[in-house]
Amino acid sequence: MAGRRVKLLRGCLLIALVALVLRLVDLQVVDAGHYQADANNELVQRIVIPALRGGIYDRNGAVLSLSVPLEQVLADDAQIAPKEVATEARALAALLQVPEGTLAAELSRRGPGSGDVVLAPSVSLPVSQRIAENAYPGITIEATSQRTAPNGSLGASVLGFLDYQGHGAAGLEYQENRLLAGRQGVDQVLKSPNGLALPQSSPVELVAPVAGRGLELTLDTPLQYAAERALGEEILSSHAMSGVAIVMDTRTGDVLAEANLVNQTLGRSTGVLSAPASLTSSHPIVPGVGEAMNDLALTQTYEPGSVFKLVTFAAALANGVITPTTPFTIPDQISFDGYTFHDAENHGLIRLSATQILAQSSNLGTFQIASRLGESALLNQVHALGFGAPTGLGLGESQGLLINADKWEPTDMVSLAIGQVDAATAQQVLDAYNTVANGGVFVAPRLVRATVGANGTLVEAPPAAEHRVLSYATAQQLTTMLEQVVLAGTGTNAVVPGYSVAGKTGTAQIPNPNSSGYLPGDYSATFVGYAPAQNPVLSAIVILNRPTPLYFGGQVAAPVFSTIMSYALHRYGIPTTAGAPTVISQVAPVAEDVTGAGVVR
Amino acid sequence: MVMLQRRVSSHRTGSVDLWLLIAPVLAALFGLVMVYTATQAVTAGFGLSRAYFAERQTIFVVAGIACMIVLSRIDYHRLESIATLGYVVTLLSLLGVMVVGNNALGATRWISVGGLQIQPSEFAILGIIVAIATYCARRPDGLSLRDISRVLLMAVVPIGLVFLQPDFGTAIIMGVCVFVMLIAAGVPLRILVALLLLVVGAVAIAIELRLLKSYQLLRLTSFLNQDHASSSSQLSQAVYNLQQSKIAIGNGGLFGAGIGHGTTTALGYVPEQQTDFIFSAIGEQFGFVGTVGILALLSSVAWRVLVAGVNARDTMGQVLCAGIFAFLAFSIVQNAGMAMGIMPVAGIPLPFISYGGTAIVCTFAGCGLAQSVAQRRGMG
Repeated sequence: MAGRRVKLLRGCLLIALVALVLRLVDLQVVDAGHYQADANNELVQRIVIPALRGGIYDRNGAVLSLSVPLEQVLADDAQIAPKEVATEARALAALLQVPEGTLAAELSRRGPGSGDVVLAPSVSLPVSQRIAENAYPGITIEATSQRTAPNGSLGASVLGFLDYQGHGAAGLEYQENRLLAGRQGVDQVLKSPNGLALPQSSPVELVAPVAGRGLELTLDTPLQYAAERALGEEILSSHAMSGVAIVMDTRTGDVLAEANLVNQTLGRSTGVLSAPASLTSSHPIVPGVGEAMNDLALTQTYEPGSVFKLVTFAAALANGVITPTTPFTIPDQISFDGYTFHDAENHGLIRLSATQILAQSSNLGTFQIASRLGESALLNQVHALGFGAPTGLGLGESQGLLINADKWEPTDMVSLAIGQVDAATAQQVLDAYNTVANGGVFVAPRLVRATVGANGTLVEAPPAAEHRVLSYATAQQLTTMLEQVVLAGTGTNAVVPGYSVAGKTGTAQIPNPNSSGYLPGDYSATFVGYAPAQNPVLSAIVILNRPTPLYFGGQVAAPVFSTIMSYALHRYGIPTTAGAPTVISQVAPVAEDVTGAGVVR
Repeated sequence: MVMLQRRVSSHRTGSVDLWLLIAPVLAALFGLVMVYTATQAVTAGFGLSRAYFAERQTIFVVAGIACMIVLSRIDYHRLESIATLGYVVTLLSLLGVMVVGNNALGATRWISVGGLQIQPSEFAILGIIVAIATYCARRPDGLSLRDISRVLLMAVVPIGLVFLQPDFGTAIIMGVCVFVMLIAAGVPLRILVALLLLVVGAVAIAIELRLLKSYQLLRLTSFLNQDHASSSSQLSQAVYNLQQSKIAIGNGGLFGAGIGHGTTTALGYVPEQQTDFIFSAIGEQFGFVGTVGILALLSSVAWRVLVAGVNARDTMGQVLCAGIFAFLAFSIVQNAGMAMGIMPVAGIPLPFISYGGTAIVCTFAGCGLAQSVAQRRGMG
């Protein structure tokens, strides 16, 4: 072979080899880091390790909602060869207690829906261990959990529920989701080229899961049950669309019971959503009455009607415009600003004290008091008693809707004074009465009294904020007057034998959401009060939405108040009231007023 | 051009080229380890014995070594007598593949003979090398233009058959071997240049007339478009293979992850890793040091084959060794270059290392022939 030709061939080989080595320098020396990172990214699969959700407990530590850890068995059919299906189904059938045929069908799925088929949603630890030991191809075991509520739907509108992913979707479950959910952990495993975690690769824990904190609520399960039962039964018997009942600890603001119920027996739409049946219990406390989807006590505003007269009387007493005994002459009707106003019943010209005006809920009397008081003093008292401001409980609460000085019209001196302008939530109305019960000190309501660590350690929530709104003397005067409502006024059905009760009825027309004016024949009936009147321990409110045919607060709400309050006072061992309070007025009780009914607008 | 005029000697006058004997065996033993490590995921996936591929490869290597030793002891001049027969058998077997061949990976390359899967195109490389060497040996005064045409005709028929299988990689190797043998045979430079231009023109026309199957073109050119995602699944598959191969090689770094510790290799991330992409297994487990080392080892074999050819005193030996040199050298460069993304994706095994019986036996056989030439070089 000619030397030049040999050199040519050698040269070609050498040049090619040099090119290869240069490329190797590029790949394995210069760029190695980049390729090593690529390799790592390809290999590493991160697996989310769920954190156990914190439980929700009542004030006694009783479980309201709890996540139970489970192990579920999943199959990735793509990993199971068709010839192995029968063998695998046979082996798993015995372990999972699922018929072999069903399993074989589940294991044979192909195409969409074939990844991660749940074979058994919950298996015991020994079973899951045996499955793991056998390492069946395509079968994995995944830690999961199930939310359970031992008391069924009790308090569901407050507790809320989870969505299908296990995130809080409503109520406290939603509001406190971050606290309850904890923090997911992350494990790192090696995966095969088709993206499957290799069962034999031992996971490396990158981030340890942190279990969620639990909530200890202010609710008291037995009282909650009593409240839901009493309210539910009344909803049925009064054919109301829905109802709310709240019981609160006067001094601390702790909400001891909060019922938000919907009548499910009415043929027509109630406009109030029930919580999904699948998410609450199939065994309601009162059949035909379900938990509301929302916390109605906080989210549903209404014109409270006569219970709002507390604002007018509180302002009048505080400003020295009246005393409990100030006499008023009430005509049958009053013409004002081109409108004619009268009370619920024609009564001719009568003389009533301020106390009697409140007890008998005279609209015209209240208007006279408001007229003495003036616009700004009335408006200020509305705000001072907590209306128009969120209570701080959250849960999607409304702050209500208040009239302000800019939009003031002369007739509002009547309407506002009798609770027919401003919209408020049940909790706001209760807070105002609780202020009087608490000697004039407003105390913010609270639902959560502590958080609970996974190991059981409690962290107490700060005590509820409070501030003085009324003087102690004014509060005392109001209490004395409110006692007369129950003793000799519109609220006699609220009597709790053995205890003195202070409170107020309200029956208000419901504004038409689609136009001005009110819905004919539709009322909301309220009773709000506290006991024992002279040394209050508990305050409560009961509202029935559109009861029929009876619709007065004193007829439908007051009895529920009595039932619940009676149970609560006995449950907490509150001493009975010594000596019967005396009825101040000798005037026979008149028919209850209806705000709106007598007002021509 | 005048070929060196040497007296033909049929006696064993040279000595055994020990390195030409040892190096292929060393490479093959190393290859066994690589085949074993690169098939762990595949064997696990198919429920095979973990050593399934390595065991079979061992048999191939033993057969290859035996073949090498037998051929090295036979005087290569005796091939002259069977060259024609060999050429005819080569053509028949290539035709046989087209008729009764087994289909695999979209190409028909194998025929089953008594349970053995044989890839005639690999043998065709040797067949054509021996046939052309023999033809040249019969014209010790050099090839006339007419001779060259005959040689080309001899080459074009089997190359065409291999191309139609389609096995583009082997067809290219055969072409390269023929060209290098023509260089060794002293074909004038202008004719060689003309030939090159002819080939380039033929390829251009083939592309223009769409004689190349589209997947072949895509695969061949995929290394030029590595960073582009493609809508073509053929191309994206080729690009994916390349990327995985490069990641494996780069992941090895300077010194490699160690035997059995190449993670992407162990988990089977590189498709066809025991065959076409075995270089990536070496790269990941032995790093830059290993890849340069194995390239040096393999190149040294090709080098010794070339040296045997240079030292051969007759045209037969020279052209034969030139062909085998081209076969080995081009396979090494093409296979390693493909795995690194600087050569087209064409399935050519890495000599002595890639899994595959026919290729192993053929490369060892080539070394045996070169050894025969080395042992019988003239005394001058």
